Amino acid sequence: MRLLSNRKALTPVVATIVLCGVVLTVGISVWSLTYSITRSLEENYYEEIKRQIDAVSERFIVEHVSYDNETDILNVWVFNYGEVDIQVDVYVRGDAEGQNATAILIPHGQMERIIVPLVANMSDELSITVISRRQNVVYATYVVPSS
Amino acid sequence: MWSMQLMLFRLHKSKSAMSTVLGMLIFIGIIFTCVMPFFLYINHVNSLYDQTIVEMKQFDRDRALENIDVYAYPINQSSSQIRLYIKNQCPLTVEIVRIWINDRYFPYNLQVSGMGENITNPIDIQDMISQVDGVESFNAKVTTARGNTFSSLTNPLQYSNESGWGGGPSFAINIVIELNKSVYYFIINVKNSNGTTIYHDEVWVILESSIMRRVDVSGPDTYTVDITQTQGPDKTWSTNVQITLEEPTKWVYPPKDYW
Repeated sequence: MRLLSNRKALTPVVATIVLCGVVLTVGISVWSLTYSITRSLEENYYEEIKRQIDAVSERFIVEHVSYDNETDILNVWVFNYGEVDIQVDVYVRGDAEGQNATAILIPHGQMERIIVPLVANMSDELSITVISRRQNVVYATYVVPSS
Repeated sequence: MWSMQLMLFRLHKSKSAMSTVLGMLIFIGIIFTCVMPFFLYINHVNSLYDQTIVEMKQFDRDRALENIDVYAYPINQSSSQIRLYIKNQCPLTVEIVRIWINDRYFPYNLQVSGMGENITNPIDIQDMISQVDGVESFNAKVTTARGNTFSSLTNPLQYSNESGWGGGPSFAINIVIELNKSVYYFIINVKNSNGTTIYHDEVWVILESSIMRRVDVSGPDTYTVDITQTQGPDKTWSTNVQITLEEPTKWVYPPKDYW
């Protein structure tokens, strides 16, 4: 009653309430913004590290190579013995050239035959490069045998 | 000191201190609910990465340690079936996932314990040898789960329609003993024409269907192979093997029912 009758006291109280309200509003906004930014940073960081983990976990070899001189096809068997699925392209250079850059998917623990059309002759020396889409590279050499 | 007291007095009197306290609380809240968990999370993710690096280094070390000797051999002189005898020369268990015969592969699952040995089941290559015209070479190799490939030390196995399986390019005697599954103790001796023992091996065979030994010899000569089985009554089987430049590798098959 005394407070109501004292008009001078009202202004500081209202001002304090308004100020608190403003501080709370701005504070919660800043908190919310910070929270969403850190969440986003966390997700981006995790994605980046996950990509790097996948890249260092990749393991694959050229397990076997054969050339079919009737169909002019070089068969390259790639074995993914790592723990992540991979996608690979195969490039052949040397006495004959060819490639298969269709990003063949090889699930982990599996082997896939990759077909590279090229024309090679007996005793041709071929350099085979298998590049994964995570930029890991495996090399192999092959000499075309007599049929 | 005076200025500090003055500041505290002003703060006490000022009603705006309430907002300062609220602001401070919100700031601390942000630190504890956003910034600190963020750094903890980053630290955890970095740990995952470091752990992966350590695991992969260990994986690569294990892979480099893998070392097995593979001997592919036909079950008998004219058989269409091939077995592989695998001797693990490393302390790690090796898992065979595939067997290659020339350009054809056979998915397989065989574990060979550290420093142990194992023999595969017969692999039928009838459709491959039925196409043989003249003499055909067969190369065998195995792939392990760790991504290593090991070629057979008996490569190439040569097959002809007329004489069946023949030798490879190096001077060697390959001894294959087929067995009924039981317990045996074999003493294998190989002597050259001078009577000098060039190979001696004593081996327990427990519930295996065959064993195979490769004996590298120095060159053309006539060698005597003596195989004695001493579990139960002693039984000795002998044969002379002539190694020539034309046939540097010979296969020796004692009769299965002899033991």
